Amino acid sequence: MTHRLSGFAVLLALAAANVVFGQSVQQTREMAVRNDIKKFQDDDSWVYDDYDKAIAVAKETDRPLMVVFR
Amino acid sequence: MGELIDKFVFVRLIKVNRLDLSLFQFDYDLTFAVFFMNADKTIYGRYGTRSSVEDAEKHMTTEGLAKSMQAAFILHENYPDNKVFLAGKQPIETRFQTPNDIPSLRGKYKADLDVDGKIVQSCLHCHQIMDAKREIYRSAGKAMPDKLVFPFPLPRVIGLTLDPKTRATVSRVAAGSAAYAAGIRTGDELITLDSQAIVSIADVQWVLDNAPSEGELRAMVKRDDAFVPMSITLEQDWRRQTDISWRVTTWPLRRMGTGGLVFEPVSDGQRNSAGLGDESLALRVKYVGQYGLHAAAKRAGFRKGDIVTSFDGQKDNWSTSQLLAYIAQRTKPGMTVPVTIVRNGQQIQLKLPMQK
Repeated sequence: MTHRLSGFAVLLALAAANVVFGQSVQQTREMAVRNDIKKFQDDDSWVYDDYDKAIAVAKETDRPLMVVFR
Repeated sequence: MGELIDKFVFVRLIKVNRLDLSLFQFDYDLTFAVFFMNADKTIYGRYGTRSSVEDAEKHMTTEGLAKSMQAAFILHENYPDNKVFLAGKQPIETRFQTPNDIPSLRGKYKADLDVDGKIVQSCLHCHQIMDAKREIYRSAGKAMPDKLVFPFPLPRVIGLTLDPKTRATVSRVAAGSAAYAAGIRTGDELITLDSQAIVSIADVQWVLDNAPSEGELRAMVKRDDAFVPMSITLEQDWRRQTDISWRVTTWPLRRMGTGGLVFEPVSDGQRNSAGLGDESLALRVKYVGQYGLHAAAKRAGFRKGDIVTSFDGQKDNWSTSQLLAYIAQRTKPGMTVPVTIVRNGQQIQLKLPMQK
């Protein structure tokens, strides 16, 4: 639960960070993207970049989906 | 939000290279967007709103997101009995199944990201979808429709400001606005709009994005524990009051028609100094593009600080948004547009090429 809460905060902060850092150095942006991928890939409270898997879990558990584009 | 966490399946989608455009339709200028959905792909609602470059989070809070999640979960609990309130939220028919089907994007991005290589360059950005749709019209020399020029209007275009810490509570109603005339007041909670259950500001934007150029929008608000129906009148061309100047998708529009110039409003002092009346066009050049097609204005002789007072013969007191809309809908590539500027008190006539 704590991971998901911090995950939301990170996602909202990232939306703002894009504005703050704007067109930052390509290499820094590459690192930011890779770090972001690693963070969420390691977080089992998120289905990461697999919409079909999320659909299957939602069907199985009768829960709604929250699909986040970020 | 804590008690809501276990009620949803959270999925993060990081690439839109093969995004299902027949399902995921949202404001592609956003850097954060959410869909609440059933596993059968029925959309309960959307979340995510932006209105400026500098303040990306102005309309988003974790508190507000939690309330939207709560509302979406209630819709899930009552599904499918509540289908009638969800019908208008579903995707509209689209010409393109994925971004790869749009002509200017075809073949440019692979389905998967280059994770071990140039990952950023391999990733299609959401705003490129809107850019590509506009380019279809520009390349054909056709006027872009209002829906493409003024996407996802904010509630303020009908006079509403919604509190981002709530689901959809009105924090301000502009005097003289369509919402004010309908009877909506500060403190009202927007329950439905156009018969759609509203879970967020983004849901209001979805309704407005698909609203007609003029007509009536039915609304239901909650006021002091009572449900009050309202009817909001959309006057002709209401949508054209939308501010698009903050959107990243204005960058290609500037390439097309300002030659790379970025404008800012002129202060009263600058207007007076230039001898310009209140009703006159007066947009000051804030930045002159330096490279490629974005340097067309530089090559044409424009400089930072110039004040544009006439564009293709148009002299009305336009905003940047209105100027960009004129470019998108009234000019074609290949045209040369006469532009009058004031520089150091002198009027100068320049010519600006319209581009693809």
